Amino acid sequence: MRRPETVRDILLAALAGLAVALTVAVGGILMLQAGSRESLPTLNQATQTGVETVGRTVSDQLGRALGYGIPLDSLYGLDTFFGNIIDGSPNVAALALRDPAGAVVYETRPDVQGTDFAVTVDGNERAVLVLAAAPPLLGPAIDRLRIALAANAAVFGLIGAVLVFLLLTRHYAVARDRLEGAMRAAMDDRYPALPPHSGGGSVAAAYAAYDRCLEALRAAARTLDDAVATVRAIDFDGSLAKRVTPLIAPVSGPLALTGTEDSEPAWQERRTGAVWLAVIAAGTYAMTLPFVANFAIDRQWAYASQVWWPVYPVIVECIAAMLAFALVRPLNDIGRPFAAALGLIATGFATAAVYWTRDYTTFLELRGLAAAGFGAAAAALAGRRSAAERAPFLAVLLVAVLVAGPLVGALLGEAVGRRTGFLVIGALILALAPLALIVRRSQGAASGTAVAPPWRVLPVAAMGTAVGATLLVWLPAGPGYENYLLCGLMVAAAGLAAGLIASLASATGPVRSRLLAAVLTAAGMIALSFSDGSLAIGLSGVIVFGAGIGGLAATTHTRLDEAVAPLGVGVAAGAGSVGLAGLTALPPLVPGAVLAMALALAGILVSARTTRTAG
Amino acid sequence: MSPRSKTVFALSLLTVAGVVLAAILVLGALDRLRVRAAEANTDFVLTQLGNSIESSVSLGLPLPDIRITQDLIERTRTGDPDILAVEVFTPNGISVFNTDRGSVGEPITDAWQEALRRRDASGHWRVEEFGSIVVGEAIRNDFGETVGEIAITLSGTARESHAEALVATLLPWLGLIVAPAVAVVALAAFGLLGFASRDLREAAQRLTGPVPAGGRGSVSLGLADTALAMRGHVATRAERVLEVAASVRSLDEDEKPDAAA
Repeated sequence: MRRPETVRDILLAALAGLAVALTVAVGGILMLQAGSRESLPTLNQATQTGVETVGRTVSDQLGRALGYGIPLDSLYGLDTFFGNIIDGSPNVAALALRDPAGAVVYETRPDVQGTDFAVTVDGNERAVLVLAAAPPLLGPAIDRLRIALAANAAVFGLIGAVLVFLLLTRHYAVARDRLEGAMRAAMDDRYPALPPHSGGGSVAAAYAAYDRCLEALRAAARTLDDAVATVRAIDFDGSLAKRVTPLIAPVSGPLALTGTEDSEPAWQERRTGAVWLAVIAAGTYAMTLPFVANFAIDRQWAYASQVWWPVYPVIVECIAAMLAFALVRPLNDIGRPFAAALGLIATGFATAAVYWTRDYTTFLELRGLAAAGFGAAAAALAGRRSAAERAPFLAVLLVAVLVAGPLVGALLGEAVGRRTGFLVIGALILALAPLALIVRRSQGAASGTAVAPPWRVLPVAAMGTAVGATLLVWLPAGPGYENYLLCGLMVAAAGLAAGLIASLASATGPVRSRLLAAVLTAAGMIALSFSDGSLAIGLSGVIVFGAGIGGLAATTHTRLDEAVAPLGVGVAAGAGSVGLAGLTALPPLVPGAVLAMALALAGILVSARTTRTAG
Repeated sequence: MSPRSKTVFALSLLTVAGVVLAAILVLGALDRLRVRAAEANTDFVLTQLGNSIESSVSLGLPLPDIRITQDLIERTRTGDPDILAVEVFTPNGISVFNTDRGSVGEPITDAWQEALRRRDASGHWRVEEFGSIVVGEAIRNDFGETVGEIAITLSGTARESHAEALVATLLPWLGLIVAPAVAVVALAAFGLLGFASRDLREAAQRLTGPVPAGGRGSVSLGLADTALAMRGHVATRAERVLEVAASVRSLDEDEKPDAAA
């Protein structure tokens, strides 16, 4: 049930995120202005050099044509010739050919102003070529930079908003509930203790005030206790006890305060630091999403067909992560922190090492090692959560893995390139490793990978198939190839839709919701398959797709231990389906969409049969 | 450190990271613009040079016999100060025309061979070597067969000096922007989180602070009202417990005279 303060918390979190986003945006704009001022002279010079090179070459060619005796006003095909020059030289915006008197022979646009080049034949000026330079700081490159800066501001604002929302809902709201519950209990003559709260702040102050407020009553209870003890000490025949018991009966509640150590606390401590570290690690690992498939394409591999180049790393990552998860999950409380730290160290090193990698096999090995490390860390850090806690956690996880991670990764790729991107991401993961040793974690050994009934496994596999095919292979190797920003923005659009639907959808969604989610997922994939470079169709496709996988995630009642294997197998199968499509010349995401839909439908059918049998 | 302070600190770090990434984005984009401007010139030159040589190849002349090529590549080099060298080599990597005439007959380096293997779909290839950028493309005959390659070596000095100048400009700006950015975000976050937790502070005040006149404060907050009610209840209960304690003690007093009697 939604708390009444949730809307207020969302608004406050949005305002905090807006403050971060606006500040980062203003910083970016100021930086762009300063950088542009510095670059303009250099870029103008480079442009001018280009204009002069083009001018000299074109005027030479025109001079040769005129030298063959062709009259200036009969030069044939000037429109095509000048058009090709403009297409082939981005530094030139327009061209004009004029006779020595200044009359226009041909121009690519009216009133061309710029640098003049004499067209000479045997030293005699026969015409003048005018070239207008393209302004260096206008055009698609600067527009793209503005989009990148806006995305940068938005993603950091979003992360800030999520942070504040988590504080408001998981700290203040919980503390408010505990305090209110304790105070109401106190008015009912039960006096529960509140959790010890160090570090200061409003919550610690409120808890301390609650405790101090009870002090007078505690002192009175001790006085009463003393009096009763004294009377009982001289009660040799038991006659006093008969008179004391009815006297103290109405105040027996406060008497419990004299033994608070034994009183039942009004709270149940959950140690969740490790889980949030796992979310941060997953988000950081997801920063490589825009790079892996396209980096693999550029490495090439003589032992496989081209269509499988972007696919193999994803399959290797899935297998390595699943194996490591299964190995580490049963470890006890002593082994888990070390497994988590070692896992993150392996992931960090393997990710950073891609910076120095040139060949495909080494890249495969490094991705396998990175995924194994991540699988081990995730197994060691993740706890087990109740159904009520799963929905908000799932939404935050989706935002970290499908919005913040890929988008920040894409921006990093845009800023410093793919190789340096791997290096920076590896360093960030390494920086997280020591935290694995110190974060608080849920106690008790976790179970190993569990086997869930098919109706719970199949929708997870369907979701994995869709994500593996669309977000891990098709997008980075297709529209996102050498366009990390577009890849990051499209993944983020899907992730936002998924997070929104996951947080809105009921955790106990009926069969119809699951069916709708599966249909949306498949429809999004098919739309993307036929988008053919159209941004509008592509964006609509990923949003529909995201809504679908968000719905599947929210209506899937699977614990992490049960979800890892079907998710991993699904992702690998999804990635493989893109390779299969390439071999059979089918649209790239159609086999994946069919497989995901089939798995989801099978899950629904098995679920319905199970329910009927149980009924 | 309270959770509120930790969150404000995290938001401040996030802002710093965002502004730093913005600076790197600007640096990367403007640096790429400079490279693209230089490479656009080179592409144009490369295409023109390739067309000239291919037109001779179309006449049936073998590549080493097209003597005009040496003149063309030397004119190209003198036309652009960023161009360090121009070279034409055979498909098996032996230099046939070179602005550095002493290198004619020498094989190309392994890095170039690797770049040739990784050429893009349009036939262009690119490699960075010793701080310089080498770009090249294939020379093809009328049947589309590669009969040679042209490579232009561009100086990396101009790019490096541009990048260094940009870093020198952006760093002070970064310093100037980060401090106020952090201050704005920290103040906003402190204010917002203070607003969000005001009922908890109010409750703490009502539980232990001076009792407001009339029993209620100026602000009516659910939690604070409960706190005030609890405080009143606890005080009443404490008084009652003390009364009971006095009654119990009076039993003790009653017992003593009886015992004396």
